[in-house]
Amino acid sequence: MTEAATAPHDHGPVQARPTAVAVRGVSKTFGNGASAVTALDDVSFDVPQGSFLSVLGPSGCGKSTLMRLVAGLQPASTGTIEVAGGTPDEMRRAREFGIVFQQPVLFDWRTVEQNVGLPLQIMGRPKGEARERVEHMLELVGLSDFRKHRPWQLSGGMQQRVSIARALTFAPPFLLMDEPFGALDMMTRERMQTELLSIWASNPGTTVIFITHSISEAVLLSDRIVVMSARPGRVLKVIDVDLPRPRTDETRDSKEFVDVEAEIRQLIFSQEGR
Amino acid sequence: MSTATATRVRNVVAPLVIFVVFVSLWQAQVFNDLFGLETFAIPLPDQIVEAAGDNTAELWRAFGQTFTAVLLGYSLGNGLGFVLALLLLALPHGAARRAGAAFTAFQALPIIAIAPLVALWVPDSLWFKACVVTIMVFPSMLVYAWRGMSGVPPESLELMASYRASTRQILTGLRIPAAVPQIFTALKYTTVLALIGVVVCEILKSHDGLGYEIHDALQLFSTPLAWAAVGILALVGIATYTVLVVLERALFPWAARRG
Amino acid sequence: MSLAPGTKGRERLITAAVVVGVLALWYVAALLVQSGDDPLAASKLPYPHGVIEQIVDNRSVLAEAGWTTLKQALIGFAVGAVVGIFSSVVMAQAAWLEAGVIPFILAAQMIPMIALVPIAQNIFKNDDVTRIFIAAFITFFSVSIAVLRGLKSAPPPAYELMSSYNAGRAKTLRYLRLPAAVPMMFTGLRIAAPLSLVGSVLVDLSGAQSGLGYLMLAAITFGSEGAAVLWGAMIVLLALGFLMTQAVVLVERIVAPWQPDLRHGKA
Repeated sequence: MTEAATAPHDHGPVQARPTAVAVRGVSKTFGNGASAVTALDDVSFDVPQGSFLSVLGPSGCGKSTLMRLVAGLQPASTGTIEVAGGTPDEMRRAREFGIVFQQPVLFDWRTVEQNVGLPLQIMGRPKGEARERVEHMLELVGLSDFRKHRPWQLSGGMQQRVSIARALTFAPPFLLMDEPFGALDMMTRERMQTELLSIWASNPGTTVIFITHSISEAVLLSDRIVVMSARPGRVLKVIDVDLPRPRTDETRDSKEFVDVEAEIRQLIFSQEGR
Repeated sequence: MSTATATRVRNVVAPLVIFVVFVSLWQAQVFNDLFGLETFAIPLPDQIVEAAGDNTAELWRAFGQTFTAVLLGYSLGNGLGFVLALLLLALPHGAARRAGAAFTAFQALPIIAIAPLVALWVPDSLWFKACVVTIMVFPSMLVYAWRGMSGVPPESLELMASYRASTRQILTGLRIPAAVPQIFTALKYTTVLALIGVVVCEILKSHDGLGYEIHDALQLFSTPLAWAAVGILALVGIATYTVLVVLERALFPWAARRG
Repeated sequence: MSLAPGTKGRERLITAAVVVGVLALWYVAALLVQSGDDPLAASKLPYPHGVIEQIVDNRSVLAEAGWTTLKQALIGFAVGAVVGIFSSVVMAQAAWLEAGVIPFILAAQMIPMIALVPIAQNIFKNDDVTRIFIAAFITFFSVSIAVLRGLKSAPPPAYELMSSYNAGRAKTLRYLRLPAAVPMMFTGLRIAAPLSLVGSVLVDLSGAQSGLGYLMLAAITFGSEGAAVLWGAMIVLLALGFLMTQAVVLVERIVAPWQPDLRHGKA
């Protein structure tokens, strides 16, 4: 387990931090022969320790696949991924990853608190400790009053908050999120973004890899953005975002925010024109 | 993908292996020894095939009697069910929903219980079987067809309304096509119901058909012939079901994909 | 779903009207049938009060026969369900075994198992054992295919989630696949419940000397004398089938209230 000593809102320039995840020349091909599809092609980037990194790209750029490679759920075809000095699979076995999918993937047969406690139960943590931890997480995501509810009794945004609480309940050093707000309406989505930032702030040292197709979402949340192109998925550019933290809803209206957003949009559109 | 090919090979080879092993063990009297039963209680596969070969004409006639009744009852039952579903559609929604729920409960009943009563009312063997099958089959078609036809998204109905489509046009252009997957589910499910109905009738009272053949052969101690009749019934069940699956894929590929 | 009190009252009224209407039609039809000179008229369509009278008069006979049929159906149902659930969990552990067995279980759904009744009677030479065997056999196939499907019903990300917790095969089965299979399992049980009763009755109908089916058969064989029990036995049988299914539904409500069909109260 690795933990940054610095406070989350003030960890200096991302360039100066040690590398937690190193992706080097990674390609991923599905199928073989004539029907082979290249999802990712020669992708490289670094994720600094304790930072928030977004992978931004249109649908079909293989960004979800990229997350699964980092999480050790699938092997890369070529290239290497190093996570905290080991392979993704070793880190998966060491339970270093908390994952949030686009769908909340909550278990209908468990209550909200039982869903949040699922990883602790599987990992065999003592019951008392688990109960406290679940209680803390539910408070953090603001769902303490819904602990006895069933997932299907909650709105989409609340379900996704349960999913985030579940991912962080065992305090994994890495939080991997695959378009977690993609299925939510715009207003819920913006509220969830700022909430995610404050949840992250209270889990210092957690390194986040966040998959999204929303430029503004990536800019608001991230220290670093990996901009990708589609078919095959390639890295267009890696952009560091040094907007001051804490970032709030006002950040969206700031000139710096709009400038970074415009830069990325132009980058993507100039690529599409070619 | 090589794993996909491997899966496909496995899906064909594994059942074949199990089948061959099973039949070989059976032929080698392993089951007879296991249960301590003589071959006149559990006949061997070759005896069954031989019995079928020796009694082709008799089995063929019995098959014809059974299958005619199945077809007749199946068509009547499914037809009746569909017509009733259309009627239900014409009712106000609340009443239709309650009637639908009543027929769903109907499905959970051991309807076969009415067979002896039908036997009193309809002495003719063929029509006795057909009536029992009709009564067994129609609730399923009614419930499925009605659910399919009434379950179209409200937006689709609004779209049709925006074209000023007539009730008939909404029925033929929207409701019936939308219900095709459910209608086929009912058609497939009711094949086995129809067979069960006919076999029960034949064992119970009729003096013809494969069901009676099983009963009769056992009375005459020709067990292999009874097993042959059971085997034919099994094949009829699998064949009719398969025909429907093939028909559905050929006629309504879009529906088969969803189902 | 909440209905306004007025609507509820109206719905009750409609139900009552339908029941009265059906009874009235029944009386008229029975009157028509019995006014003819058919000696079997009393069996073919007795008056509703006649049926109730039959059931009350023959209650001990009906209860005994009903219990005979039901008891064996229940035992067979339980045995078939347990064996079906257990074996499908085992089958789901080995892909090749599952692939090898599934076509046969699927085919079994298309076959009129009931045809095995005379065969089973011939083998066991014992009506009780035959009833249990047939009920268990029918239940086994319904339940095992349902559970096999249910064990596969969890979406791929759920497996990825379990993998990210480094949950092994046993834990994935316990925490994900088994609970996910529960709704399908109950669907299988609900289908099997009346079928196991049908299997049991058919043993009565084809030569057993006891049970509801035997009573019915005796009724039509002895003509007007037996008429008394035909309708009574039929209605008891239908009621038993209905109750068995309802019992499964009740257990489902207790065991799996989260099941999609049983949900209510979205926040």
